[in-house]
Amino acid sequence: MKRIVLFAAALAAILSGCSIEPVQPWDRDLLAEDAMQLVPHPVNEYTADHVYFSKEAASGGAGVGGGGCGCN
Amino acid sequence: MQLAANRSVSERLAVATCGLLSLDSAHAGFFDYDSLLNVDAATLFYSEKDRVQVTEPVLQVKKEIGDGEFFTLKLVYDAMSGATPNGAVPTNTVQTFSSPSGEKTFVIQPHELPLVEFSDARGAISGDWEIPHSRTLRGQYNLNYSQETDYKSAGMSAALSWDLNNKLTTLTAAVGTNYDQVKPRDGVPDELGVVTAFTTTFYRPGEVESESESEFEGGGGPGKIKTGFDAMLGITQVLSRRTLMQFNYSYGRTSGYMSDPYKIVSVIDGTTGETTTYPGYVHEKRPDSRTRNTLYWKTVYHFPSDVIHVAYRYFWDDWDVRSHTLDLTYRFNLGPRTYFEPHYRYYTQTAAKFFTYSIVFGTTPEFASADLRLADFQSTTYGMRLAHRISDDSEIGLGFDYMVQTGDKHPKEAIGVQRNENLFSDLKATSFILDLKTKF
Repeated sequence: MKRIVLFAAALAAILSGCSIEPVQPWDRDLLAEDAMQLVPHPVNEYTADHVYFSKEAASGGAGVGGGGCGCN
Repeated sequence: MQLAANRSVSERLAVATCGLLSLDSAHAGFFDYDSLLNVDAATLFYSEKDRVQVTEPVLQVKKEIGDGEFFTLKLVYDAMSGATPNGAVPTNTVQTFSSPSGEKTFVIQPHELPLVEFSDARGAISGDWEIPHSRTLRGQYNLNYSQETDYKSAGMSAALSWDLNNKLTTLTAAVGTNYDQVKPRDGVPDELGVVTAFTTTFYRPGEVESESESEFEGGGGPGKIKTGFDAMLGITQVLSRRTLMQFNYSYGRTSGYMSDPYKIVSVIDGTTGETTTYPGYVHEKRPDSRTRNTLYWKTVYHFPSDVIHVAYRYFWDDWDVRSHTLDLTYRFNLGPRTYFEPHYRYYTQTAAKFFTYSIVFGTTPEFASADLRLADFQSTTYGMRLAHRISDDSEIGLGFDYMVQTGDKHPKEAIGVQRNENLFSDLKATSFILDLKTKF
């Protein structure tokens, strides 16, 4: 619980430290790049996540679903 | 009927034509919508030192089937083979394990980690439909199914994303459910039952299941079921022209059979630490419910040329597993068509409350598993990927990852001769990933 509080405090500090700029649609050229997507390489990420899922007790976080596996 | 009888021929023709046109437009929407087919393919070659080898090709095709509406199909095949720990602890004597039919015997030398060979194949299919419900609301619906020799899994999920603040903020709510069935070839063993033969799986397509052993619930039985429910709430925020941030909270609950039917636990003498002659080993037993929580944060930042992805995850569950994960990927743009991505990941977890290296003879734990994936350990991954755009629509990449898991080799709970053994053998794994993105 202590860790969660610390994490929440750290997150609040990060968010409050970041000013939110009103980015206009014509200024979103960088945001539209493939490299700026939250998951730029979905298939590569799928294979990496499959490795981690089969070798570790923790999983998930970025989304829901994705299918089960007898590997864990 | 009266109304229909009074319609003129031209009206009837108009109605019929409209019907045909609407049918045709539906057809065009699904098959002939003028958009390119996005193909994303990769093959993973995964290899653990002295243990498991996996080859996993993945093919994903995505097509826009309407205005802002996409359909994605993903196909996955896994070929797995090699040796994996069966849960028994290394000790100072030779240990022998055999498969139920006696066709395979594994002789483990003193001080060696007991590994047993296995071989299996898995196929998975997933369909994903993304549709705009309004100018600011998008839905994403997924169905997935996978099958192995001894395991089947079916799942579905739905997500709604709501764009706010001139599309600078996106709120996401998602739910998912899974229905999994495990059905070992030799049946499901009695949890905490004495091991008289060691069960493992050998992939032989078309083979008839063998007769069940007394300690198993029967190879022809229905197997065991596990069901899962997941929910997620997330926010994605554009912080600046160069910064994107995501924060998610996920909750998940799994119920049913979660033991690994192939894992066993050594039963040791409480004074000497030696594995007992009888019972020797018992099948593991895990709780039949698990509640999971995750907090996930990701930031993407665009430098003048390069891009960095930073992600952190905190995971906790009611099995007492607590985990931190930090993931960093930095993209160096080497030129207009080529980039290089170093990757670093650090993962740590605490042990599940029922994890134990062994069971002391005479004690009767409610649950016990010696699966090292439930132990206290750290894992570090170093990776890199080089990619090159070979045309305006195509990119190829080659990635390499090296993962090392380390744990406590000599835990304080070791008893007698166990103090001389390495109870956590490091896992070292390398992955090569070859990928191709293109459009047709």
